[in-house]
Amino acid sequence: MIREVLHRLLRSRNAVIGLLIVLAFLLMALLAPVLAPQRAETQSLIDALKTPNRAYPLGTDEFGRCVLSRVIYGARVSLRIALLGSAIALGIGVFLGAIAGYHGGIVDYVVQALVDISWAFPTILLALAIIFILGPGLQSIMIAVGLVYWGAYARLTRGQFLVLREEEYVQAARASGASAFRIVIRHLLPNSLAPLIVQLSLGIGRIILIEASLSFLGLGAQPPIPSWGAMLSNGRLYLMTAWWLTVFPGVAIMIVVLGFNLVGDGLRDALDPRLRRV
Amino acid sequence: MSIIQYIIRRILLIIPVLVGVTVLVFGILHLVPGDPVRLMLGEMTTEEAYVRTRERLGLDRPLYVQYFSFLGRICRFDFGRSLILREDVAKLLAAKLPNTLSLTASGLILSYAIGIVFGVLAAVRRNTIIDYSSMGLAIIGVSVPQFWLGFLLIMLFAVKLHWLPIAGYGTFRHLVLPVVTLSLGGAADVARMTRSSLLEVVRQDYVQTARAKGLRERKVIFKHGLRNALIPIITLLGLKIGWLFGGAVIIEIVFLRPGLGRMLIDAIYMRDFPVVQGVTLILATTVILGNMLADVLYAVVNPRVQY
Amino acid sequence: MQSKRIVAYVVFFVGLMLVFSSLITVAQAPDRATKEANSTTLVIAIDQDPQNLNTITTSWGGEMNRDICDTLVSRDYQLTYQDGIAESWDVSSDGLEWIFRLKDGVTFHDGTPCDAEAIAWNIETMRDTGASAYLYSAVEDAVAVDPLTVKLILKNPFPNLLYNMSSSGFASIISPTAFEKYGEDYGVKAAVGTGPYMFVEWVKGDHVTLKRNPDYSWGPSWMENQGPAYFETVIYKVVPEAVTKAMLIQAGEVDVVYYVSPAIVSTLQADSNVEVILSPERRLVYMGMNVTKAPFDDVRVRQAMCYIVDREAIVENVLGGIGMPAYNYLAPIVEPQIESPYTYDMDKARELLAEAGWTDEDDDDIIEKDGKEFRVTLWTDTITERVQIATVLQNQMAELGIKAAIQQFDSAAYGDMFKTGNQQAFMRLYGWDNADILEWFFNSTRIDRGVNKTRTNEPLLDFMFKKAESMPTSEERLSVYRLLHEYLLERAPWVPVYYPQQVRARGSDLAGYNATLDHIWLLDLYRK
Repeated sequence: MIREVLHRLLRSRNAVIGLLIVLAFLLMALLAPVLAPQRAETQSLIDALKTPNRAYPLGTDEFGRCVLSRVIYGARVSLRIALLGSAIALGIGVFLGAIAGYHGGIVDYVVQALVDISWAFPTILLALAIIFILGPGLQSIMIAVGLVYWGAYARLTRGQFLVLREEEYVQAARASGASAFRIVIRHLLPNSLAPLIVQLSLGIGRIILIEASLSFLGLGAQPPIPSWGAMLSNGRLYLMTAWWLTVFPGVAIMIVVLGFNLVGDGLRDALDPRLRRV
Repeated sequence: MSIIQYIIRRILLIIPVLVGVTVLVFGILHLVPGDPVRLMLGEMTTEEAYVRTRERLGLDRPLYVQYFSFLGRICRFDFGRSLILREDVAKLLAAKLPNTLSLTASGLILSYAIGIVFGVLAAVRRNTIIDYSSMGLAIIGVSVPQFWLGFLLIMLFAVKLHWLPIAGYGTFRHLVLPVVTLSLGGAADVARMTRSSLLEVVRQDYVQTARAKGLRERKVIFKHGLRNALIPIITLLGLKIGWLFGGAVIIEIVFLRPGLGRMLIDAIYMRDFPVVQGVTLILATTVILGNMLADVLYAVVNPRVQY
Repeated sequence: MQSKRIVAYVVFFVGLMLVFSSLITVAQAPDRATKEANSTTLVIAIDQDPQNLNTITTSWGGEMNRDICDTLVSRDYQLTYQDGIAESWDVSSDGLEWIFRLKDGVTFHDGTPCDAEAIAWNIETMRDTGASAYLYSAVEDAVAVDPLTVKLILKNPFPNLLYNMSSSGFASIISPTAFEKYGEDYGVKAAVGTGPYMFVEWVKGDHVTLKRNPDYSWGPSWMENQGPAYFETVIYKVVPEAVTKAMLIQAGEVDVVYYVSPAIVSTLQADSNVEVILSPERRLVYMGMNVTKAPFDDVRVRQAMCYIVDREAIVENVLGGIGMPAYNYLAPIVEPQIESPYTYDMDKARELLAEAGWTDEDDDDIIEKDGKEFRVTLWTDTITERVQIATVLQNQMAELGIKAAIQQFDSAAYGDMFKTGNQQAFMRLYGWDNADILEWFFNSTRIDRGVNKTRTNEPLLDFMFKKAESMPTSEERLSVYRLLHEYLLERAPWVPVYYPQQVRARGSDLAGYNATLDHIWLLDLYRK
């Protein structure tokens, strides 16, 4: 089945482009020490705020650090936050959403209450608390972001399950005595994947931005760690004098988000069980 | 179970959610370091004055006593008094709520309007330039931070062209830039969702049947597709309200709007417990109502759904 | 011919005179009526809401406090003490008795006369219950001798009294009747002083509105305008975000900006509608170290830290030249200044660290001592400039083989964290223009409250501080502080980094702009 999906995926031109983009960024993150002209934190105060030039292709920041190197190393940080943060959110969200949607009743109410609490809870306060408990660091940001975001996946999963469990083929499976686990895995989950994947591909971009907002409020990645979000937020003071500080990390985020979206679209088509039945 | 019953249950659910939120907020605010009295009096104050103020505000009592006295007051709809601003929280909320509400409500409407239009266009004209540009817009929407977009819009429309004001509130002109900034990101996922679920639905058997019966493509999409495609979009509603509020925090800082978001941030940084609790309660209630609305709309759109 | 030429000269000369005189009349300031007609509303951007306008219960009453309230004594541009509500004063030879003679006819905005009774009430209430009780802690008794004469009897000589009395935002003179009348609400719903502006409203999180006091005629004698202010309404607008603040003045939505971020100065300077005003400041940004915790319990390690900062390069490049390198603990305008031994010298720092036993034995680029690696946490608040300096220091430490992790705290948490005593190194800023700030930060009595953040506890220092504050004359007081300052520099609990420059901006359509260290004086200000 996986081979079939992959095959389908690779037939779509857009998906392949998306895949290449994502792979390129993952490679960039992995090979950062090789690719980057310098280390991300190397300062050279004399070279502060230089426009893009031969020595510094994307210019320098207020410490004379090479923006190109920081964007490259930033892929490591931001992709890690985005992917692991999404994984946490997706894990919690799909799990809780699935039980809520399948069982309904009191379980559904409890999960709904949890979702409501998580959305009603101020993100900053949550981030403050987690950073206080776990200390500042990327793991705190990932957990904070995951805890902020899981509700979206929970509600999407629940919503799909609510509709799908009334479908004839699910009713039929149930009537034939299939276990709840089997029904969820074989029927409900595969048919709920499409909106989840679209949400996930957008969610990855969102999470990079949540980190930027946390940086805007001083709670993001701590210096000298080069996250794209922190670069955007720190660079805002130089918006009018040094555009290269925010434009390049911004473009990096945009390309990555585009990549994930193309892959997401392709995957959605490839996973579509109706298309498979054809 | 009928919808009415469901709504009643859902309203009853508000209470445990609100209690949960207050416990969490209260716990976290007291867990993280920070002392409102110190902030009120500043560093250069005597120990004596410090102790006296603490006692006067009742902050020297055990935590559970403070929490239950707070809960007791909330039950009588008494939100208490701000420690820092020395004003009834209810009055502060009433003053700021309209500013935040006008921002988020317009943001919600605009993001759904833009999102659905672009989503449908993209689905109908799949794999054309329209589809790609709608996707491009969505990508920009989700990858540009709001503070950045806000500053760019200000730079262009307020500083360079002098068309619109930066700061202030109350008039339509003051609302334009903040709402546009707020909605662009929000429109992105609505657009993507609409497109994707439309395409999803179009492939379903009954739509294929309709098409086979010779109905025109456009009609198929509007008559059969859109209604069913709305479900995942509606699911987003409660979430959107929560997010728009989160976004409003940044927007209110950038555009200098005195709203709940800015008040919340200030209150968190000042450890002004009653204000944080008050804003969170309002926010929680709105989110719950939003989610409830989403559930009811579900049932309206798709009569097969049972509760 | 000759006479014709003379006539021509005379005509030319007279013409020239006429041109000049007309130029002079043009250059002359417009009269009061014109100024007032042009000056309706002034909008001033500030960083944050005042905590409270009540200076008795709040240690700092916000920028607008100086407009609402006068002080007993004022300080002019040269920082010399001048008349305020008090016309003049005398001090007895033993420094224990002060006589203040008040200006006649000074009234609070609520109609209460500002007489000797009111002044005595202010001083005693502040001393007994005030948040800034230290201002008058030396005062034994305040007596109203007659309606225009106040006598202060001191417990010990206290030459710094005039400084304390002139601290705007701290030593504001407020109306006793209003204070009683409004109770808890004073400072929020009302604030009543004798100043050029009257409090109208405070919309929290947004703005404070003031309106002109039409009866004001007792301004300090060193101000040009001796009558009421020209602007009718003044709005202090709260603008927390630095970029928004810059754009507001560029778009003409505000007239004056307090605290412009250094990163934005060049943008505003390039704008012809905006005038940027740079002036020296009384603030110092420094890195403090906890002297009771390893590794900074070793004076050599602390001294090494003083050598790792390339202060000139930081100011020039990171801060865009907005500021001054700092080598000692007091702002340049504050006496006593000391020549500091600490320059930028990484070799010297390495030497000192090696002397203290810190070397890289296993070649992992981290120095260790007795098998323990040199790792520290550097605390900072979230203010951009401080985080920037922390980032530079972190990099410099890394060059010496020290691993420093930066941890940012929001302002509420930050102050509290110092009570725990867990701090190792931390970025701080203070703003004060008096040597007694050393006593404030290094007296052992303030360790528990988290004010003495380096946790310096030396009986000798405590004794000397006490001595300094009870010296009979300012000169003798300063000479004790000189010794203290020298000694502290040697003990190196702080690494001074830079003195921020004061950056304010105003619309170029304003005239009569006068400012001192702590305040923009609105009395002379008008719109052209």
